[in-house]
Amino acid sequence: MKEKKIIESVLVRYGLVHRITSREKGRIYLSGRKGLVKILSGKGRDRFRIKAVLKFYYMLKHLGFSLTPVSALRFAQGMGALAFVFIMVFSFALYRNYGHDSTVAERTAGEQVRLVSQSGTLSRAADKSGSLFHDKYIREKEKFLTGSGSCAVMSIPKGAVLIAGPETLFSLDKYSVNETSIYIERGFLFSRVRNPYGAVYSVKTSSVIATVKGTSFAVTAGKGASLVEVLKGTVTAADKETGTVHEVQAGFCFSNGKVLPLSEKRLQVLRKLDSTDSGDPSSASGVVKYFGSASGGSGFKEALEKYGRVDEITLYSGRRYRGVILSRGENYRVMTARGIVHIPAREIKNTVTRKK
Amino acid sequence: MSVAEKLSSESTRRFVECYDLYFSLVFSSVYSRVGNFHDAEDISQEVFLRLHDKIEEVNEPRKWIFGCLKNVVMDHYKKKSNSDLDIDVLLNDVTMGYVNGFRDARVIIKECLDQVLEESGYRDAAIFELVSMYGYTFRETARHLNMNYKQVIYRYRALAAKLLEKLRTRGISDPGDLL
Repeated sequence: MKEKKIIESVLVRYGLVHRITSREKGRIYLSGRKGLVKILSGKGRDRFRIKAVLKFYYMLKHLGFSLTPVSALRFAQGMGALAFVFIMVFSFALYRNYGHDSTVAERTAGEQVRLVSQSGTLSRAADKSGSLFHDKYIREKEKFLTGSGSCAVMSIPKGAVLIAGPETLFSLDKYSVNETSIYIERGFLFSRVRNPYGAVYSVKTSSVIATVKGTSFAVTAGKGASLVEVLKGTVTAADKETGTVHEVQAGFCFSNGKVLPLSEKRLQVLRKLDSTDSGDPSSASGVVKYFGSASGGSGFKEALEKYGRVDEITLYSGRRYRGVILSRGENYRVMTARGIVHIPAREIKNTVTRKK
Repeated sequence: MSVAEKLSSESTRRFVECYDLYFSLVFSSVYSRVGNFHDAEDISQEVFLRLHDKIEEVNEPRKWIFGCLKNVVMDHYKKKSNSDLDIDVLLNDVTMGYVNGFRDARVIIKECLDQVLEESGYRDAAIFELVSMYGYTFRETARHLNMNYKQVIYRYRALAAKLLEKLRTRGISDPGDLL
């Protein structure tokens, strides 16, 4: 700048300039800030608060705000109140999340599904002799097997409770933030899903995929046939053979590509399972008694013993079922070696009963 | 008295304004002549402490501050009786902006400077003095006076033009001749 240079040269020439180094200028600036705090706080105890307010005041001034110290104080108070509300809201949200979903911590430790309770035995399929005990964790892709007359209650940190019936072979197929998937090779698995985060929860068998977003339902898997029974909410059942997808509402079941109503007796059993306390270590002993009528695998042998007969059912389609007819009416409820099957009466060509 | 009450008073608002405007100027003025940072710090703080106590009675802060500066310097060096500094020389020098005495070109320049500074606003005068007399850059001046950088440049330019005009009226058509 031309005029600046001229004036500076003239003032220097006549000894009117007293230059101060940049370092000293910085020290003067800091000394000024300290001095103002000292003068304003005097002998009072408010030194810390005045210092904070002035720091904020100068910060805002440098940002181009035109204000007084007291308006800076009000601004700071407002910001503080806002920050407090913000922290409280987020703390509450975090607290709620912690209660329902401790996925991050669980995943970091590699610990996912916890065995809450068991009645009888639950072992790794690869090592049948090594039983799992209470509070053990179940890891992804590991296959588990419940013993004959046994059942296991497990809890998933993402808000689900699983009850595996007797002789059930299952594995935790996938466990991530967005998706939980369980595969049942055979047996019975009841799921109570409380999923407030919209993550996908599915139970797969060789013939069906049952997908839910918060409901209570049971899946029974046998050789080539599966049964999906819904107590609460809605389950999307995809038939792997035909590729069709069915919406199964509460009080209905899905079997052999058809959606049929559940009997009241059956619903009562499922309700009992649904009311299982996932935090109670003795809960499995309380529910194991329901599995005589809940799952197909071991129930078939018991039914044979109980009824002393075997029914052979032939459908118009040529398909045949061998088992015990538990109930008749609009839908036949048949206990087979692969689980309970519901067959509409109009599809049945004939039934033959053989005494054992 | 709570912090809010203390800061919301009109006297505090006025004091902070004066402090922001004059502290760096007073400190630089004292330090450039005394040469001792701690002495300059004590003197400047004492001046502003007195201003804080009397702010409600002060009408012309700039004149009051530089007037008070004389007394504070005197008191300070009286306490330090073993000081080698010549107080008279120091006083004349420190408050040089308000003392006449020379009859050469320097006097003319100083008179013009004083007139321009008096005619302009306090903020403009502070900017000009910090930049021209104590070698502050525009950015440093903006920081010390809590102002916008562009504002500082604009105000300095206006004042520099006034000074050159004033010198012209006193017969110095080209300031380059003074060099």
